[in-house]
Amino acid sequence: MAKNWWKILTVITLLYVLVVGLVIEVPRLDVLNETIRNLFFHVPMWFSMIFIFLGGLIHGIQYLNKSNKNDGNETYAKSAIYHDHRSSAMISTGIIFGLCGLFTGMFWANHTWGTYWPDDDPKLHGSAISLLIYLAYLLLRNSIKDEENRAKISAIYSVFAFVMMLVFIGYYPRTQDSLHPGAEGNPGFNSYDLNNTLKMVFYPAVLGWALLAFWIASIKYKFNKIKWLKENQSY
Amino acid sequence: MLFREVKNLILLQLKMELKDKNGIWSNLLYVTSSIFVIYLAVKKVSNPDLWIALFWIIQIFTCLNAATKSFGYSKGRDLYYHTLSSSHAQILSKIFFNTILMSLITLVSLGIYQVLLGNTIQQILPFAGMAIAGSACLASLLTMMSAISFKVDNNYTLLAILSLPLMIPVLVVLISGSQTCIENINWSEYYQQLFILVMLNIANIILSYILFPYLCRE
Repeated sequence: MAKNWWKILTVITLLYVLVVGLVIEVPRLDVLNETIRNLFFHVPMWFSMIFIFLGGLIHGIQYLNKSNKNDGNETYAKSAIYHDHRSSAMISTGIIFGLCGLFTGMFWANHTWGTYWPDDDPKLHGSAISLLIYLAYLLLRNSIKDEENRAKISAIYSVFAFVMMLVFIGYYPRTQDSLHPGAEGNPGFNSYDLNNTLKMVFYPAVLGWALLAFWIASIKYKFNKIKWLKENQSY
Repeated sequence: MLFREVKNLILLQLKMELKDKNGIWSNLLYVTSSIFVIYLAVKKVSNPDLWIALFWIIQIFTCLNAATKSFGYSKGRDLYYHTLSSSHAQILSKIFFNTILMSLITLVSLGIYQVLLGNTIQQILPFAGMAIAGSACLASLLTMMSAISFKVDNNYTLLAILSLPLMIPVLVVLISGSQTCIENINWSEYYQQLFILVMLNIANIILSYILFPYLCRE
């Protein structure tokens, strides 16, 4: 129970976000109107995606560091393959969150911009490209049979993918014009636009969705682990 | 030390390339015939956006084609080099060699393309600069990806799967950079795109330099 406090926190914050986020009085802005509530769902999805990809990257690097030092006799928790299981679970969860971010964004765009996918918007390009890069990661993992090779190569690729994602979500949109909110400065949103009522829900939303992402990843990791233990140890 | 190793490896590869001649000529044939097919179909391309799009489509597949040959001439020879030189020197030499090769192919194909499909781009020299920066960036990216796919055995398909999504970001920058060269050039916009390309290239080289030794380890 003591170890699982953050899961309870996740449930509480997400319930708070769902209830308060939908009933709270929001500022009436032109065009946006009620769709401003998407701030509690769309933006935190991308935040969680970046956090969890970062987690996947860190585990990938730890795998690369450990894989040459191990001699095969250590316990599962200290072995290199542990990091591979963590990293792949995190990255596949991150892809789901990215897709959710994309779909919530498209739905919102249809109501405010009048089209699901406006032409030539660098932020939309960046997010779609990053997801494509990470989808290639999944393909790469599926195409390698040998376990150690798979772990090593996918860790290497995930470093490339993360750097490209940072450039094309974090840096490149700042240099271009865009329809997307927060056109100056931070590509996701403009912190000066947030008033206090929005902040009251927005910060818990970021926390809640990010924790949910890590929760899903930890379940996926346990699945990987059990599968691996079953294949590799004779009981 | 590293510098000398890299230089010698590049010279060695150049010598082998000149001896074989297969690599570069097959790529040039590939480029020329693709351009010629477009020429047969549309003669002169007067829409500059279309001109740029066709040019870069040809370039991606040519670079992809050229990159498949960067590793694995023969397993024995690779193993032999591996005992002679450090893996850092190997990846750097492959990247620089591919950069030279792909820039050369890009320049030659730009010449042929312009002759056959017309002078639609007014600022051809800045465009050529952008094209060289772009092909250098593609070369560094593709070298590492072909190293990865060489390690996985099923070479060509995996290379395409891995590198096409990673190439799209580069192409987004390249296309918006190329579009600044259409008529009157906006230098600040042009330099900004060029800067992003150069930074991406440096990032790719650094990442490959750090990660390639992990890939080589058996």
